[in-house]
Amino acid sequence: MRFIKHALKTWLLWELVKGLALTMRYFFKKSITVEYPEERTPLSPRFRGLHALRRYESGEERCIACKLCEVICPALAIVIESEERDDGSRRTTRYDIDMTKCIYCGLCQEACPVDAIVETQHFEYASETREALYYTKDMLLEVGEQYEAQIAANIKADAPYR
Amino acid sequence: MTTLFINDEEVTVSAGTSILEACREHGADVPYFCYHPELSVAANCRMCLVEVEGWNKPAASCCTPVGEGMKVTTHSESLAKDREMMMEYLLINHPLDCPVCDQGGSCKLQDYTVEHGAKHGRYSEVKRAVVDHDLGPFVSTCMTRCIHCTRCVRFADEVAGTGDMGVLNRADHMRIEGIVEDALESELSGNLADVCPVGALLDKPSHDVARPWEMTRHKSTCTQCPQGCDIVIESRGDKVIRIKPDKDGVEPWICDRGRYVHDAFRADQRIVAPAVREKSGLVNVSWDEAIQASVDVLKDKRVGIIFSPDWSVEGLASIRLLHDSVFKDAKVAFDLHRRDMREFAFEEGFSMSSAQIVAADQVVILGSDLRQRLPILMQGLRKRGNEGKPVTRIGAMNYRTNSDLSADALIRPREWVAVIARAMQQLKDLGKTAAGMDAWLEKVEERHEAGKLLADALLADSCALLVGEEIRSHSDASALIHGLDLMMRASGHAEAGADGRNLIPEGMNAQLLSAVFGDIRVSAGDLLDAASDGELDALVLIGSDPMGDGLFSMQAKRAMGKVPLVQIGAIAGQTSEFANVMLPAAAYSEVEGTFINMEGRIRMAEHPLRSLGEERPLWKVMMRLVQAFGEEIPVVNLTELRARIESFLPEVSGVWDDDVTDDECLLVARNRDANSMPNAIEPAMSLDVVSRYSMYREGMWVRASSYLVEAGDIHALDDLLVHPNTLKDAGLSAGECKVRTTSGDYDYHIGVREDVAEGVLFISKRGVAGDLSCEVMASLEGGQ
Amino acid sequence: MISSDPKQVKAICFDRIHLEGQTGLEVARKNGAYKFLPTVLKDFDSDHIVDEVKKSGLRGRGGAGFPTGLKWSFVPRNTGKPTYLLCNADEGEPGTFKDRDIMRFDPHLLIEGMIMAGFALGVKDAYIYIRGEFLHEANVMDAAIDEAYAANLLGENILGTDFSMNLTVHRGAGAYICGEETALIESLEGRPGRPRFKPPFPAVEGFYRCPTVVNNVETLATVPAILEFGGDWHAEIGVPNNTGMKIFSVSGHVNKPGNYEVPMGTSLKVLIEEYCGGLQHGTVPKVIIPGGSSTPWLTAEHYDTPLTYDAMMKAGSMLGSGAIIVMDETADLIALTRRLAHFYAHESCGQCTPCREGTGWLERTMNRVEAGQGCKKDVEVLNDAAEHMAGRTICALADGASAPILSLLKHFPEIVEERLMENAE
Repeated sequence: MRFIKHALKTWLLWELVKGLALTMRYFFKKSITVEYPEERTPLSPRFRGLHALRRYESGEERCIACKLCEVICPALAIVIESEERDDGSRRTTRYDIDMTKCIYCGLCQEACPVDAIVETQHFEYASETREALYYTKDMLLEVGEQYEAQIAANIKADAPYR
Repeated sequence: MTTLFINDEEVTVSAGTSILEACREHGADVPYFCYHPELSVAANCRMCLVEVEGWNKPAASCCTPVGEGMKVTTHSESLAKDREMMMEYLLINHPLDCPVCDQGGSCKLQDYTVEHGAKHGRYSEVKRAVVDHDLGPFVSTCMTRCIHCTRCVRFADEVAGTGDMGVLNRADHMRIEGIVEDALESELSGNLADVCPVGALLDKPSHDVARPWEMTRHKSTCTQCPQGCDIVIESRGDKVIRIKPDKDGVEPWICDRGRYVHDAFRADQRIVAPAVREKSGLVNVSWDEAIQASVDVLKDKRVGIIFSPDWSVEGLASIRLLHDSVFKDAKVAFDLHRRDMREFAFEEGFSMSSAQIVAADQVVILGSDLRQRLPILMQGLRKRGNEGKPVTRIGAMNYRTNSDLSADALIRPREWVAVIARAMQQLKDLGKTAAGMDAWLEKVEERHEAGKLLADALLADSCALLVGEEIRSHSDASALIHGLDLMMRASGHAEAGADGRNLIPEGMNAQLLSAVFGDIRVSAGDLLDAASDGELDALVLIGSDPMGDGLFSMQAKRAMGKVPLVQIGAIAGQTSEFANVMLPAAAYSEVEGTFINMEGRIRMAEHPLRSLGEERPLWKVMMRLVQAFGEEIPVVNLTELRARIESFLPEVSGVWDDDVTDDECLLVARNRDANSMPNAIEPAMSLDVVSRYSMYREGMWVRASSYLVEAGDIHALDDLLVHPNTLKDAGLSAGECKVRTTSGDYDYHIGVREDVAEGVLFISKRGVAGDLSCEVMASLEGGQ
Repeated sequence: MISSDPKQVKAICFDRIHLEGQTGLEVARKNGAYKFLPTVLKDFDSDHIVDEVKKSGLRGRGGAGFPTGLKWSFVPRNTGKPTYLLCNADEGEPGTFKDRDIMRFDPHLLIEGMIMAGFALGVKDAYIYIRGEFLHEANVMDAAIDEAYAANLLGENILGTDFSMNLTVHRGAGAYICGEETALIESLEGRPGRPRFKPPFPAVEGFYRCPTVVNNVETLATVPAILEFGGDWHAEIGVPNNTGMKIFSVSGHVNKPGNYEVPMGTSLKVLIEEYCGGLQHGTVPKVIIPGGSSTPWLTAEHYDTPLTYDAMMKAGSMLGSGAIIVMDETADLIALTRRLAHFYAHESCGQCTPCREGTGWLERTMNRVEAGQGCKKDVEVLNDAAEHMAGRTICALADGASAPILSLLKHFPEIVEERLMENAE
């Protein structure tokens, strides 16, 4: 009996039929591939992409140079220098993130007491030179300005879970 | 001794100790804010509560003396609740601004909140806000953060002696305030930031710049005055952020001069690369070119060398090696304040430690502005004064000490000899004599009553004599010091173990300098005059600035430009305008070196800062020069150099062998056969010139620090001062006057001050009339 | 006249207080002031006086009830430093008004007491630290002292003896805390009135770090009678360990408020009903504050408590300065507590953390509770904050500040609860 079953499978190309059936099943099934960059998956509000420095609505930068992000950064990617600004407030004179070192762990964001440094959902900033990945304060502030609406919405969306 | 139990462990402490101190001694952790080991007890923070068996309420351990058999518990459930509540009380009015507060990360309040505080505060009312005050260039305030521990107030009262901090109002309106607006009147004001347990008083120069966890700590020795305090240089990367007293050091405080000089470490004035003068000015060149240029300038010339005493022992010894190998006939000077080059009976340096001086039965300050000269020693004397022990002072000005002096006399420099004679006479009449005393006494006819104060003090069992710059730079200094030495012998203060002879040196390493350079040194004034008169062909300045420092700025200005100059050092200063060659040598913070302070205490700097540019340690520069002159290099590494130093100064042998430095001090050189006798010279002019030292203005490093320059402007007195009676006698009034000296006539604005001795013209050494410092006498005439 | 039979004594301090013109020396002398002083100065010696006062069982009338004789015996002799006698006339405790009557109506009694005490302690300079608000009393005292100087009762060689003593009135500047003896000393030295921690006690290191005795006005005013009639006589008045007469300043909802000098051991009920004419409303008081505002409250169940230091302690309160504040059903206890919290927040000297911050915290919380804006958590806050102030500070002001709050929460939690409910609605 076994012999007959085996011979039948062999002569009727049963494996081939089975394989083709699978192929055909997927051929007619709805496709799940996202065709990046034309198509994009939705991102979590907690997505950790490119960093940004935020400003208050008044235009004042949020960062107060407390350096907690610098000290918590496990990859030592952040360098901050600070001084007292003329109005007496504590401000950074330098805020650099080396994106080649960064491991996108999000600890800087967690440590920030004023929600100044955040990771946006933006992740398409690949460059052809290493230098372009050394982000300075001005670049980070610019990112912040560009994505502020999105950042604010994400923080709001995540707030109930914190 | 009292035996008690701390957490069931039996401990023995001396009677009268507080429970808190007993706990600290024996490693039991008790939290506290207001207690400070160097200050009086205030007992107001109530954080240090402990339980004592049999007492119905917790005791504040800082103000409760130990009792025999007392059973103390430092941790219990109810104490934990008490501490939690104490933290909650403190935090209800403390702002939640740790992220912008410089203290964050080294804050007692923060630490204890984590350790003892509750998870959540329950306070929901309005918080207190307090107006800040301007306390000068060194202390920044954020009084809202204050927790009213009153450490700063006690510091100002007890240590600084100025009392310019105080408490206003009561209940939760209570405020700590600077009583005077603007600058604090203290040379120790920088310590306030260290004393404050929270972020209310902070270091202004480093405000908002760095975080405590970023700092690298470099143990070093301050060379800004002969005290040579143990310091910790805190740097962020290569940038020095602040200097603090070393916790394990001898003194708990450091002065503002030593603390804020760090601005100079990165000042534009630093020499960071070798340079050679060309037509366009100084041009940076390679080391080889610069060394060659130096050889061209100095080879086969009559050379004068002036160096600063503040270099490390290794650097100074290598100067001698350079001298012996290349410039055997060169004139060498290092003390810019000494006029009399005859041997001193006791050379510069202390035979007592600061602690011994503070504990002595009698202390006599002879002609020194000790608060400016040695602020830390003065602080010790102030502590002594607070305990009611006597301090006597004789000098040309009623220098501010911020403490009570038991006896004080104003004299003019020409009267020193009469003062000493009067004291000697009194000792002689009491039957206390020493060989040579009669001969000395015979030379002097006058007697000055201030001598009684001196003699009275000498009669005590132990007496510390602090001989200051008014005597050291006196034109008859050797005779005066011989006279003092005779009296100290006569009254038994010269024996080993009870030696009270202390001559305040100009800078560090005094013991080494007199041992190594004693035989070749000349007066800096003479050396500079020789350069002006064509007796020298070239000058080498090694870290010394005779134009800016010392008594001989007039001679220096005359000499500069007359002869080629090779400048070796870390700071350019004003002499750099005349330098033909500049060689950078690493600063005291940037070398692994050894330093000897005035007490003879030896300290090794470890883990130095990295140099800025192409500086090399001084000893390497010196050896490079020897090599360039074609001589055999005496030593090639630090070990050989140190072995060589041990041959100069046998006392230091073994210092470098092991890691441990013991606190035994080097002895000061004595010249037993020194026997200078006072000269009876009829004074040619009516006034004596005394030049005044300012800790904020004297020294190349200090002048390169913008913070200290600012402080110097705040604390400056009039540049020329006389007693009102001196003017009255001359028929003059304050204002423009003509000052007549041996070197010429000058027009200056003369100020008056009651606390200057009559007959003295007081000159601010670094003021407009600083060049007159080289004069010994002057007279005044009406202006215009 | 004070009767020499202890059973017949009607008053000691207030014995001559009603007499016309008693503030003048002449009248006062006629009425018996300074009568016994020459005997004391000439025939008594220091140890004898201290012994008599010890025997009398006199306890400090200022609040703490510390035996006066014992206090005097703590003063070290032959220290080479002067000994000072300070009279604490900074009667600031809310509810107390007894000392001012002595000074106002019989100043010579106090002066006589101070001379005797000064003589016993070898004092050269004595001071009366009088409350700043007592302007009239200070003037009366000053005038009396001037007369005493003129009559050689003060100054050099008093009444021809070797004993010399100066007496000076110093007016305070209106701080409650200066009624605390070490704060009083600080204030008298010219500094802000902030209590010192103890040890060292003033008896050893007080005024200008010299041995110092600080006594209440009433205490010193009792001394002449003790010396005249003997310590044993005094010890027989009142009850054992709580001897003598005591002035009670009764205020609140009683029909005849005022000062009453009664023997120690008289019960609260007797004092209120027999002397003070009973309560204004009802038959039992709702709250009795027995010793000034800083003592814990008593309720109706302790109405029969005898007025002694010990019995009050047993009942959970203190006799304090004898300022009895009586409240009947009509009193708003929350408003009362809030007002007291305000008083202590205003009067805290600001030295110790718990008191400086805690009194303000309590006041602000009580403000809210009174306004009906409190919440459940506030009760817990009040309890915690008050409980951990008491006994954790240098002086007892924090204990006083916490007492009303803790009493309110202990005895009348339902009243507070009700006020919180208003907020909920």
